[in-house]
Amino acid sequence: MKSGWSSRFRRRWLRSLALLVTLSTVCVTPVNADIIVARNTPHLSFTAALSPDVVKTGSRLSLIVDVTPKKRMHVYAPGTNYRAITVTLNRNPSLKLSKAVYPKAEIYIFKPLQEQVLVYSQPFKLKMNIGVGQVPRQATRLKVTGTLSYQACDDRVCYLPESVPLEWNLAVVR
Amino acid sequence: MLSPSVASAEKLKSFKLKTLDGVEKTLPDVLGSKATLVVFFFPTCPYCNAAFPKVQKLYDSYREQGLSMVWINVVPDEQTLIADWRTKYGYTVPVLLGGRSTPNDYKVRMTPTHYLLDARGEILSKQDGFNPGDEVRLEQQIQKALAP
Repeated sequence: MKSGWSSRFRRRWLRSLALLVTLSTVCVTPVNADIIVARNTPHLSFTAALSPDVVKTGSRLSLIVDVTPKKRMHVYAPGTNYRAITVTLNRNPSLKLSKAVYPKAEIYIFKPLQEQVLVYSQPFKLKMNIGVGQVPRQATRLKVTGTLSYQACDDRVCYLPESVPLEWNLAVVR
Repeated sequence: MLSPSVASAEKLKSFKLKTLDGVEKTLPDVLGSKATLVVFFFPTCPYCNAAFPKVQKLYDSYREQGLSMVWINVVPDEQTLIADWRTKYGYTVPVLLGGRSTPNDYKVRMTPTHYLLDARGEILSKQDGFNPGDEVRLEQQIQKALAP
């Protein structure tokens, strides 16, 4: 009995170990977690990456938000009466923010109102250039925060507007 | 997504919310003599804008027969849009201003979400979203609720 139990236990332990190794391979991507924010919501998934991963006074940063709407979902682009997806960075005295650049949107016919609206239903990227001003002399990290806000709809309902917090911690170099 | 009889004799949770004029209203204050339609919405919700002209017509048609109606905004940062929005579309259904916790309190994940209640505030049906034709089913539910 005991050796049977041990054998079963060993097999379960080995299966768990194998699962853990597999999950580690899938989940721990070779990126700096401080500069890539990855989120999955009921309506879309996205990564928001700041590069490079270090800042210094006078340098420039690039923010790329890679958004993939889920099946049958769309989010709104600027230029409609609805809430467009926006990426907003909070004010930071060390950063000079610029407006986000949007890709060309698709035209979606909203059948209930026979209305043409601009949306994204396929993967798309939002880009923003950021200038780095004076970084405090004693700082070793620069915290950048913001939000990705959107409203998603499918072919029947609209979901409540969402605002997903973003945060990066960049290393400061001299 | 019409789901009649969400649960037998389940009451809609009561609320205390303000009108656009700042007057506090509770659920008992807005209950009709026979039935009440409570709709959760926000002004820039596309499906709400598709549904509401038809829902307003239901209000106009059945108000005299004991139907009460209230629309509850679930996006507080759109409260400032509501007065102009009502005027623009000629809506007369009373509006209440929900707070940040309103969606969670009423399990509202999408809009519009309609709850049809009886005279005691018990839920007769729930409908999420809107597509043309849904107003017919909603009207049938209302007629049933108003029947003697």
